[in-house]
Amino acid sequence: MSRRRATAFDRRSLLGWSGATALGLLGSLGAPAPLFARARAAGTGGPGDRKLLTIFLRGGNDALNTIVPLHDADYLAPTTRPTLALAPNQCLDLGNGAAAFHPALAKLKTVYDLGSVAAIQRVGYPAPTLSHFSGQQFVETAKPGDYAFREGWTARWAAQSAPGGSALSAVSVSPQLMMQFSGAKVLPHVPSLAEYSTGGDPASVKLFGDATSGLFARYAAPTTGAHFDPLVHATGDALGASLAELATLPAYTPLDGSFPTSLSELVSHGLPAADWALGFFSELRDAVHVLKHSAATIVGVEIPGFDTHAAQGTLAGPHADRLAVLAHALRALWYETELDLWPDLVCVVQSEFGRTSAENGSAGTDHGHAGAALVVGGPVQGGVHHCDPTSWPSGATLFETDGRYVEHSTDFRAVLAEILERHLLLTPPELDLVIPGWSSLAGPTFAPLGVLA
Amino acid sequence: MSSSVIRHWTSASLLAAAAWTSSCGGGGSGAEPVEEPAGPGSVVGASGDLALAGHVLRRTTFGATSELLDELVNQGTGAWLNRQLDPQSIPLDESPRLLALRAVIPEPASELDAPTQGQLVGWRLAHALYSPRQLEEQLVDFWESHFNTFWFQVQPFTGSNTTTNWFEWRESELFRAHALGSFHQLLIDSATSPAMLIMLDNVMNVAWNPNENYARELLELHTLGVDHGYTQADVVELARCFTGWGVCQVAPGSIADPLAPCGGAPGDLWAFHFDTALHDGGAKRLFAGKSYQLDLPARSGAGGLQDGFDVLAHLAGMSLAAEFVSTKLVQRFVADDAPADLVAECVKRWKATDGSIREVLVVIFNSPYFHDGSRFWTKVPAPLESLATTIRAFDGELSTLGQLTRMQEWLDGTLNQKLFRWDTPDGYPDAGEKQLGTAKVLERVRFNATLALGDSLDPTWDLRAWLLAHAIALDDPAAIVDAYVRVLFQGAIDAEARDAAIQFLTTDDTGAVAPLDPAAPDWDGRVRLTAAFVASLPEALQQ
Repeated sequence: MSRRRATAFDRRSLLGWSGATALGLLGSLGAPAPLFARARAAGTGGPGDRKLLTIFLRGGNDALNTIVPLHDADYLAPTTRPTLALAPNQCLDLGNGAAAFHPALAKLKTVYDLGSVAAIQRVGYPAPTLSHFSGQQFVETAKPGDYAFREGWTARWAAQSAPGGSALSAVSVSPQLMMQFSGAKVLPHVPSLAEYSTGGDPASVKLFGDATSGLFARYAAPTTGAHFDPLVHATGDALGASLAELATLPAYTPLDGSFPTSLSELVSHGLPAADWALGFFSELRDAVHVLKHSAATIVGVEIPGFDTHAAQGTLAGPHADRLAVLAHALRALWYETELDLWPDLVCVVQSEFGRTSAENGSAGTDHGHAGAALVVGGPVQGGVHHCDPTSWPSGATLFETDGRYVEHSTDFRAVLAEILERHLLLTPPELDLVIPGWSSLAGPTFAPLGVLA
Repeated sequence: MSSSVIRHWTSASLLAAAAWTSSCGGGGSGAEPVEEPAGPGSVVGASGDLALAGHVLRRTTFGATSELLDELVNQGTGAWLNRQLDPQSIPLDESPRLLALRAVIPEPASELDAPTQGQLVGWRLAHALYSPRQLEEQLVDFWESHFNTFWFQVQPFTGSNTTTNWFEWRESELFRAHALGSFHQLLIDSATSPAMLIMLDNVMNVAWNPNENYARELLELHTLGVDHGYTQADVVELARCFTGWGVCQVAPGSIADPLAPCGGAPGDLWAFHFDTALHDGGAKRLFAGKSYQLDLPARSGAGGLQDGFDVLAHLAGMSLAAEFVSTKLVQRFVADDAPADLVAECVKRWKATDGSIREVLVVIFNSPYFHDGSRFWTKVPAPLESLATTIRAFDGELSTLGQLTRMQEWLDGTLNQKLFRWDTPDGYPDAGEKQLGTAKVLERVRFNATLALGDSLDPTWDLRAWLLAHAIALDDPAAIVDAYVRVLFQGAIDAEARDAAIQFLTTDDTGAVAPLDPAAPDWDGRVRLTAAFVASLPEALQQ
């Protein structure tokens, strides 16, 4: 605990500065003065100060090439991944004698070395689907197996457990409103803070109006209750309230390079020059801004393109590109929040499934079962979970089902429950509503991992 | 089977015998009994019913106009729908605006004069806005999502923007040509489309280690529905059937021959290609043990191409596919919660007509569910529908490629209905809640405000002309609002909302009451902004 609450300067001096310098970020972190200016006391730890950022890796992240089980002879066997296996000397050792990060996660390793990253392998749920869309739905609703159920767990949390009084209790900062945030309780969908505005000209002011005139008065009017009418009205109300609250946010100037804003800036940070990466960093910047300066407790972002059926690459390529973007993002999260939110911030990274243990004939991998999750942040007890010789027997894990898949040993709901219970301080009855039937789920796959104290 | 099936990409000689006389369609293992095909059905509608006319137009067009409302009220919804169900019978020159835009966007004859990106999207938007064959355009939109391909995933394979535009153009034109035709044909169009072959990795699907991407989505998204009647073993087996399918550049005279040698010389054109050396020639068994089990014999060489076509024919004839696709059609044209008995009727008709989309639509349009007033206003318009509805309602004119590109930018932005650029194979969603979200509501209002303020799409509205054409007094706020409410909602709006609109029109920007004077400089801005107000009401987010 004391180490996690170490002052910013302890950590900067020990790891941050030297790490940043070595990684070419000297320019961005050169002057200490702004750090003083930005410093504030860490939160009190009460419910209103605790923050959760969720990052969804869309498409099914290849868990085996993320948290690499180097202790498993099957992984290294030339028949398994003839072109996709990472060699032990390429990977970043995580210190448990078994697991290692993909080399593209070097920037995340910096945060891992602070003790602020829990790397969890073999995460999934019973009877997994191989469909992206159902898989994402199951994770986002926290109700695997129920195809008809489309209400997000965060929307349920917001409906009953969020600290009251704010329209921004949870925000989806993504191109589409994520299902995780979708439900009868309408939460703001903010793809871009800069665009989330009615415009200040007199005509727009008149058109949108307020509680007594213009469109917002019409959305505030009683609903007929039929079909989509309640949701339409609730959405208009949530729009008005979220616009008003976001308008009060102070300006935010991130450290240079935390969230690259041009293709050339991406390249200068060793990241792929791709529009999807720019879009993601723009969303992440807005997400951090909202977390820092509003009452928001839960904010979600996503990274597309993890569906690497062909030519996914090893040290370079589509998969490495995305991991590099993720690692840069998580280290930027630490940089940006270390002096304020970090002690109260948890970030969870998930995907809908892992991929086949063996590579296919296209130098890619197909949809699999268990995946990997990361839990990152100041309150996190770092370490590796379920990727060691005991929890991952060499020679008996990679092809456990149908000769193709790694099976889960931790249910994703256990990871979520631990965060909700220990970080967001949900009571058992609340937990049961956010994760349907949680209290009736029993067995080793539902045991808490201890990623939070 | 299916003599009506049109053969694209296939030369007469090579595939004639093979591709279209399916080993399963004639009653092989697992074939299900099929009723005698019946003649084409027709829709029975009603006349003199403004509410029904509005409903039919909301479901089957990209927005009502006063002229269309009058036509459906006077001549009946049945006559109009029956004509829409036979799009070839409707001359395109019924829409001078479409013809003008088609002249602005030259129709390419081949890959060599492929469209630009703006032309590719502009063509879709021009037809959605102005085609007199509106039902056909709704179905183009439906099939584009159903068989979605993602431009940015296709482009890296060829490395050419223009080639990618051509693939998408060609595919879209096939969906338009067959929009109301046979599902089997649409399945073939998609399966042999270079965009799909690249998008879902059939181009890399090889015998010694198959790639499951296309096989899975063919079952999950295109035919049966997720985890519906198939297992992972079927995905693996199905992937084997499509090994060797791909694309390559061939001599211009050989683009319809999947067995033509691949070249790459200047002037060669991209085409669907079958590589016998990459195909798994062994026997296959799909859906083992099910009533619809499909056995394919070992076939060597060029004969292996038949595997994929046999599978497509088999899938198109399966009740599970009929159920899945019919459910999506009912969700599109009736309501998000598709009534099971209506879907069952659709499946029956599908089986009796070899999967004729036109005939399934006839069942839907004749259903009591389609005519039941309590089921009007049960959907949420997609962004493209919202934008087009506001433009069409007030006779908005987009006449340049630049204006269509502005419209595309609105869709590509926060509204996130990216034509040809939806990044996952499920396509743009139809479900109501996916069209909402605070940002999408905000953006729709902003779009309407832009139309009203004449910012980027100007000059698209001439409301003075529109009101005069409707014989509305220019100084009568109530009459003006009622005209707006008629075209957008056919009067189905509560009195408070109407009063609010009238009050909106009779106040200036500061909220002070000010009479409406057609000679005053603020008249135009006020009637335009009021149109945006009415088009942005909560009622406008329901259709």
